[in-house]
Amino acid sequence: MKSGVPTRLTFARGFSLTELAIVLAIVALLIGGMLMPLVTQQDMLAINDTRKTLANAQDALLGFAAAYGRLPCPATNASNGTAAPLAGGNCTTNEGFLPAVTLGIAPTDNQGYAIDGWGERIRYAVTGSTYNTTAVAPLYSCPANAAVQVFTTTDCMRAVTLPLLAPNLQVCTSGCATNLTTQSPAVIYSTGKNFAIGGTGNDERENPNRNTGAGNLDPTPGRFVSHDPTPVGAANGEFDDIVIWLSPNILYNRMIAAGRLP
Amino acid sequence: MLLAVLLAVGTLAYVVANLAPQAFDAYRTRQTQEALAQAREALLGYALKYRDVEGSGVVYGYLPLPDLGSSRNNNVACTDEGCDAANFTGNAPNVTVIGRLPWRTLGTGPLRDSNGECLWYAVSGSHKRTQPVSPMNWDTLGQLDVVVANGSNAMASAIASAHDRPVAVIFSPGPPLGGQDRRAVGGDIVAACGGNYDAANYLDPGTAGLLAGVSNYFAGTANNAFANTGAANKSLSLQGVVQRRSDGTLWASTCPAGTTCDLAANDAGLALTGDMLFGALRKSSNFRADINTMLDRMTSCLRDRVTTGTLTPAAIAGYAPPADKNGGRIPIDSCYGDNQAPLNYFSHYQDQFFVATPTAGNFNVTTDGIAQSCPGVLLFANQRGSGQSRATIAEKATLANYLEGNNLQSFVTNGSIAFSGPSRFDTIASGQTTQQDIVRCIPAGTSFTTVDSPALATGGFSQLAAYDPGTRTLTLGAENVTTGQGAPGGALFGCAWMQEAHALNDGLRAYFQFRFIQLGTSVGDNGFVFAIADAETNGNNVCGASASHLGYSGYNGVTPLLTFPKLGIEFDQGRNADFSEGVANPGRNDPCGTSGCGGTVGYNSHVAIVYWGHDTANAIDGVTLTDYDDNVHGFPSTGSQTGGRPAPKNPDASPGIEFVNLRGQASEGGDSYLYHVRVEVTPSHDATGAAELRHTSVNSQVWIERDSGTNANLIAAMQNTTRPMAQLYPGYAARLRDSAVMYDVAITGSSCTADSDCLTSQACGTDHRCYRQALRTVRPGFTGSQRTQDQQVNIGNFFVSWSQ
Repeated sequence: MKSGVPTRLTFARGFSLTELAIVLAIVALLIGGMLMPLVTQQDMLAINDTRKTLANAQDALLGFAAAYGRLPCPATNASNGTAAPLAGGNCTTNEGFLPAVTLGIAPTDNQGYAIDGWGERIRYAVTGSTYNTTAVAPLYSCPANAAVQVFTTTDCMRAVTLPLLAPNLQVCTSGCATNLTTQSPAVIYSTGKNFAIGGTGNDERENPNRNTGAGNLDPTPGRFVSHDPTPVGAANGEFDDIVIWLSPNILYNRMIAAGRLP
Repeated sequence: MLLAVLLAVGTLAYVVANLAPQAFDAYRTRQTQEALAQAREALLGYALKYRDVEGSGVVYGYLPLPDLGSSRNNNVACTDEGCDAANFTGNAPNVTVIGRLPWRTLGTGPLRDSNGECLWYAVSGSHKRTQPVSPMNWDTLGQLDVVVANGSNAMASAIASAHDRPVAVIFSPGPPLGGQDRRAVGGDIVAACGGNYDAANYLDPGTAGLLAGVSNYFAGTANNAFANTGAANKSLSLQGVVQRRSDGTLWASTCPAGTTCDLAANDAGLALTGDMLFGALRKSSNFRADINTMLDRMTSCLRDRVTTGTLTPAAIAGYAPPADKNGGRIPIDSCYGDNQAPLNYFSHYQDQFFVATPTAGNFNVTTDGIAQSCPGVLLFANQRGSGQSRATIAEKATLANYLEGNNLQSFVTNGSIAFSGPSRFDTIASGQTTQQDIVRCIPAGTSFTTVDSPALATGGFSQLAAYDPGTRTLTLGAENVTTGQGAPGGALFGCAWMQEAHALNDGLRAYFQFRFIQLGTSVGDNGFVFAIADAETNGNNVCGASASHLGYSGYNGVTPLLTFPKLGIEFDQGRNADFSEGVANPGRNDPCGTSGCGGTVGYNSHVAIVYWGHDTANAIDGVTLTDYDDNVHGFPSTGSQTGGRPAPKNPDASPGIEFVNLRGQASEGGDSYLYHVRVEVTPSHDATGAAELRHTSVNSQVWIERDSGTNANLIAAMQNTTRPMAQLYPGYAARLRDSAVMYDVAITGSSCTADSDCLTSQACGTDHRCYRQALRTVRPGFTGSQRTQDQQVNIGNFFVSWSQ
């Protein structure tokens, strides 16, 4: 009787190895099939997050201009997310980081810099367009100076007046074949998913990034490139930066409404 | 386990499949709306700087044309994709144009809807900048109509009043419908947006006729892009998806349950109305300055007309003024017409101005809360209020559509003579209502009041200052009034002042033209001064002494002195060398320009900025009579500027003093050249520190230009007092410039220990005297004199704009 256990019963108690293997294979396929879109989904999410942060930043900049009569200077490596200088005037650098602390933008990293969907700091450039204000200033709070950065010095836009404002940031397409604008007051951008290793292609080099420096200089300060993403090996290199810029007309409209421009 | 896994995956799939569309739709709608809103805001920005960028030939309110394709834009200044079109074949007044949003012109970059399609843009034939329609103001009607599907066979208008009609619409074209071919066809640059420029390939309906006769394009014209809408408005569908049921009824967004529909249209649009446009413009201080300058100028012109009895209001059809007054719209008058600053405004805004004069007595006009008795009133109707419509000729002839409250009542009612309102057009944010009537008292008397020299009248001589309100010309000097002809030497002065004092606030910009006339063989030997007198120390009856004092300095023995603080622009015909206080012909330290004294320019006539010399007697400069050195160049000299509160120095070097040939010219028939002069005075008060050390920095700039055809653009800029020269003509440096520090003025006889012991806006100094700001209110005017030679200078087109 010891050996009287029916073979059929033993067989019915579980799956055969073959069956298990098939199930596992199917599950693996299913998961694998879901995983690939998941990665894409995550990228999409990061891109959308970034776009939203950039749009918020643009709104915050417009609000700042309406409230203070100027745009903030970019934050520097050392300024911990604060505009440098905080009070405006001629900026320490015209191409730096979004001054998230000054603008009150979230999310930020531990040092107070606004971050994109990949956790990298969001970049911000403001026009360094200067004007000799000795003919018009001191007027309101605008000082008389031979070379004042008009857009970042309180009330200087107002003193210099609309027709003489000449914002000069340039945004162009791949290889700078076409200008999208040559008169933007401010550019805000994320260096994209490839922030750690990218930034060396012809196009991405124009947008200062963490790999900008000796051996990988920004060819033309004041010029930025914006176009749809291109893969490694594209004519002007890999490109995945997300760039938006301020229309001077929208800036003027907001500032006039706030009485910060004539 | 397998079942559980399958169940979980199935549930997840179900949730994803059912949730995503709504969430995604909402996200897409928001993305589209954000793009449309950005485009509209950029268009407003364009409109806000339009006059300042395009020059004063145009008024605010016009919008750019769409981008019609680089092959058709004809825009030499901007030839790429996204540029606005300039004039094009087929364009004409009232032609509405549909094309792509001119994103390059607007600086936004290629804005896209959620479908990735670049935005389109329709501009009403009434509001486009090329082939413009006049008049352009806040009552100009748009020629676009918004229609919606409401379940009937026709699209119904969604516009409540004619004034709500959009002046522009920005479209998101959405995904292509049947019949829409969005492939590039060549000919135009489409690197950024792709596709082509045929409006029918983007805007709906895709199949003609599906939308009950409505289409968001103009079938039949090149690229279906334009047509004249002067007679019939263009209906547009902006509501996004419109479904067409088999019975021909049109439904917004979704088809009624249980029935089947075809997608007729999916264009989402955002409208810009005239009220939005001018709501934004009213926030622009440049726009308000233009309107207020118009009011200032009209008031100044009309007082001369009323004084001379030559004001006849323009009739309004159907309106008979009540028996006790003459009233109507403002009449056409070159004194404030399109050729005066603000250039080209009058014809666009003349509908908005009303004037009335009483047949006897005065009106009670309350402006800014101050009651005045006035021989006339000027009213500016302002924007429409609720219930007001100015769309038809009949509505435009109805006063109630323009005026409100007691202004309306007094205009139409016999016996009502009260008018009230603020004197300046201001923002809604300042508390002014949209429709607030702006009210100006037309004051009694002419624009200038002259100060006579009684001894001349006694001797039977002409006075040396005369104002003709008919031609609005001020004449200083007269023929046959010299010491040689027996006129008393001390009596040869004449002054003219603007009647009312005005707060200097942020400064003033003045313009006038002048010419010295040859009398016999003389164009004069003295000159005149454009003076800006502190109105707290000087009335409109002050004048200085004769001869080289130019009526600006010195005591003539009769009228009150022109006392400091003050500022003058001296136009001096001759040279009085060195300084001496001799009464007959005291020196002025005038510069030498002729070879006789070692000069090189060939004439001694000069123009200079002057203040008031010494406050107190000074041995270094040899001054004992402190009122007599007010136009002595170089005084107080640096060494004599003693004490903590020195008077500003009258400049004695360029750019505070310059040679200008004011002498007679053969080419002018012996007269001097005709000169245009513009003066900008900009004060800034420093109210820190002890009261006696507070001071005003007064920056003065003077442009002088001889009349000629070759510098017409400079002269036009000089005449435009609505804006600072630095904005109108950057780089056109003033001929004369100086910056003076004027210390606050001690109140004579005052005594204090605290600010509260002094009057409002005064402060108590550490020396226990009260101090007030210099030149807080001023009165501009002209002073002149002559002595041994006849002199006549004609001053015309004088106008002052006051900065606020």
